[in-house]
Amino acid sequence: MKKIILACSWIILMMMSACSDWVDVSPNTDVKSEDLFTSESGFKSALIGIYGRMTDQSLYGGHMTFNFMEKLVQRYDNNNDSDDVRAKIYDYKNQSDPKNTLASIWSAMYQDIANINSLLTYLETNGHYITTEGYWEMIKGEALGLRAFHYFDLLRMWGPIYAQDSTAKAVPFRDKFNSDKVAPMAANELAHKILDDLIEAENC
Amino acid sequence: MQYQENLRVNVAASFTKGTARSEVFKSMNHTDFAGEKDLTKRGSYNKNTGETFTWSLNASVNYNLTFGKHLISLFGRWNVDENQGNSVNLSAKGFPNDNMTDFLFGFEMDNRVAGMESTSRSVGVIGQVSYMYDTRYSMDFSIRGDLSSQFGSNTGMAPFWSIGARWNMHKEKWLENTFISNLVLRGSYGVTGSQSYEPYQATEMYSFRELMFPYPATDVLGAQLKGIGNPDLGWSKTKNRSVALELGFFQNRLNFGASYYNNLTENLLLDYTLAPSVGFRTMTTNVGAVKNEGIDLQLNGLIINDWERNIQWTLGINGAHNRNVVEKISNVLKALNETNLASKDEPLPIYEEGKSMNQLFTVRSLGIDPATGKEVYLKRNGEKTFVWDAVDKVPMGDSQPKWNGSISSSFLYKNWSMNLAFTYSLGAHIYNQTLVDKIENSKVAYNLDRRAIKARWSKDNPDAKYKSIEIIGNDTPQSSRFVQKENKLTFSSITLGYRFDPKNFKFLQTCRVASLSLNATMNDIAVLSTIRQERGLDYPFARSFNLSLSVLFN
Repeated sequence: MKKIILACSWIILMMMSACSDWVDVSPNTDVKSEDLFTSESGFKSALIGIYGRMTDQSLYGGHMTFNFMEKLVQRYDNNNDSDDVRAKIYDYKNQSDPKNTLASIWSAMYQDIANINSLLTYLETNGHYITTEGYWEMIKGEALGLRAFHYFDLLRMWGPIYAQDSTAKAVPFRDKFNSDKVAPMAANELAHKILDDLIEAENC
Repeated sequence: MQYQENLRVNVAASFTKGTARSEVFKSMNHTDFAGEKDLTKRGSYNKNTGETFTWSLNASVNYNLTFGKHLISLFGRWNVDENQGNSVNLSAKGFPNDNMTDFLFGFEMDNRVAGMESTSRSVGVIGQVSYMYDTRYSMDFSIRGDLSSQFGSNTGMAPFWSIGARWNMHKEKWLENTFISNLVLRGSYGVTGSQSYEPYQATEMYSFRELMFPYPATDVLGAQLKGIGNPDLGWSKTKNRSVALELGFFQNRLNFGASYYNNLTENLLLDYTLAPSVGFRTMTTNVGAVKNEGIDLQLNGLIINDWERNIQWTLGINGAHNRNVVEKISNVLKALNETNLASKDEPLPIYEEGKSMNQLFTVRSLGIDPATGKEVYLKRNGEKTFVWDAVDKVPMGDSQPKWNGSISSSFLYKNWSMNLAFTYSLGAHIYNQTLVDKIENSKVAYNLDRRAIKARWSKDNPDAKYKSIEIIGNDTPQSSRFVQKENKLTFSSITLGYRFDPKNFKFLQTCRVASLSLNATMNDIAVLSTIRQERGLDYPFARSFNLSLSVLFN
């Protein structure tokens, strides 16, 4: 009797311990982060993905270059489009169209930063998968440079007039991809973070 | 040895494979393409295919031990499950000749290939110990552990357990040989988990799909984060508490059952809004909590049981009352409340902590002003006004019935049988959309409800329930004027059957038929309700008839 119970419980124990790997399912249509960063091409994909994301119409494929920014600085007007008349886009705190445009720029910028931070984290933990000489340094340097570039543009758009008040709160600074709440950082501190990233990128 | 006779081992496996297919072909002569000159753009073909594959394997061990008046039984079960689903949607256009009807003749693909893939796996073990003394008292304890691929990597195995006790009072000496043939009191407490969730909701993933464009500078395709994973995502847990009483009289010809339950579900999976600088808007987290409390009552009896004349009639009635309370909600639902509260057309669900999930929020109405024909609303502070404002919405009842249940009857006479089934519900508050749509918010040019003309306010009819006819007017906003209390009785099904007894039909005997029976069923026969409303064209009544013949050979 005891032998049977012992044997049964041993079998069950063996089955359960083997199963914790088995229930770790990888989807076929997408790649788990931890699986992507197990090859050099995965790291390259993640870096290229950031550049690819930046061509989005909310970012440098539109609003951040020729569209919303250029309209704000009055480089040209789009007279046929009533959504973009000056009276409306300068009232961006109340009008829903410019509010939505700004929200889409903000969330796309921070989604880029999330991608950059994720890549930087995996460069530290899984960096040994990169075998080509100099690649690790290049990817890290480019990622840091991109992060500095994004924060510089965020500071430019949401920050105070630097010459007048450099200690005013600007935007939150994140260097980790997680769901924690982060308070906005003072403009001068953010400027130092940007410089730190650039110096680190140069030394890579 | 003794124990081998009481030991039972059971192993079972099951495999299910399903395929789904839908194809829509539109000929080049379809009116959709009437304005298209280019022959290679006329005609379309959508082809969707899906596959599901499910398998499960389980093994169980059961061991019973009796000595004297004691009975102990042990039970263990181990199971593995896998569910796979896969679908591909293809659409092509350009079928320039009606002889070209196969998908492969399509001139070009219309959209990018769409579809989905899902795989979920789970493993579980269950152990159960029960003890019974003298068939009067029994107790059981069970514990189960589950692993599932749908939850976060930090979650591990979720232990669930339950404990129950039962007292068979009818086995006691003081109830023997009385008119009470069954009297059982039982109670249980336990924690269970739920598993019906999205397959990859906890996983942090990269996707290539949105970045599929050429990159002259590199040899790889870009990938981007798809969302934020939650390695801590775990099971939602329900604490189940229940007590029940079973009563049977006259050799169980009349049975009564009552039970009370109080279930608290915690850690419900809800979307949670993240700080705007995270990069992703929401994350699935264990935040919600809901409480369900209620009673169930059952009464059924064998009213006629005449063996000599072969008549048997059973009648059963049951009823249930349930009350649910939202204990905790996420910030996503709070934001949804704000948009739902602003709604003017129809009352949308509002989730408030400490309140029912089915509250009906709307603006209080005092009816139509006999002098002007306008609707008078009551503000939150008790003032009367003609102006509708979403801020004045207050709870106006609960859309869940206070009491609902079913009535069933089964009658047997010789080889004939007849079964009837009814359901009823009492005391639900319903927003009568038909009244709004078909009386006040309808145009005179369309087909109208009779009340749309006759029951409207006019100088000759100042006490009317509905506002005056306006040729150009604003739509009537939601108000308590259209909230009505519903008591409903549904005649849900009737079945008539006849069994051909081979004793009476020689032909059946020669064909070696053991039994042949014919059944006719009709569903959704009639609804009686205190509210007159249309089901509309979206979900009309479907009365269905079934005729079935079953044959058993010997």
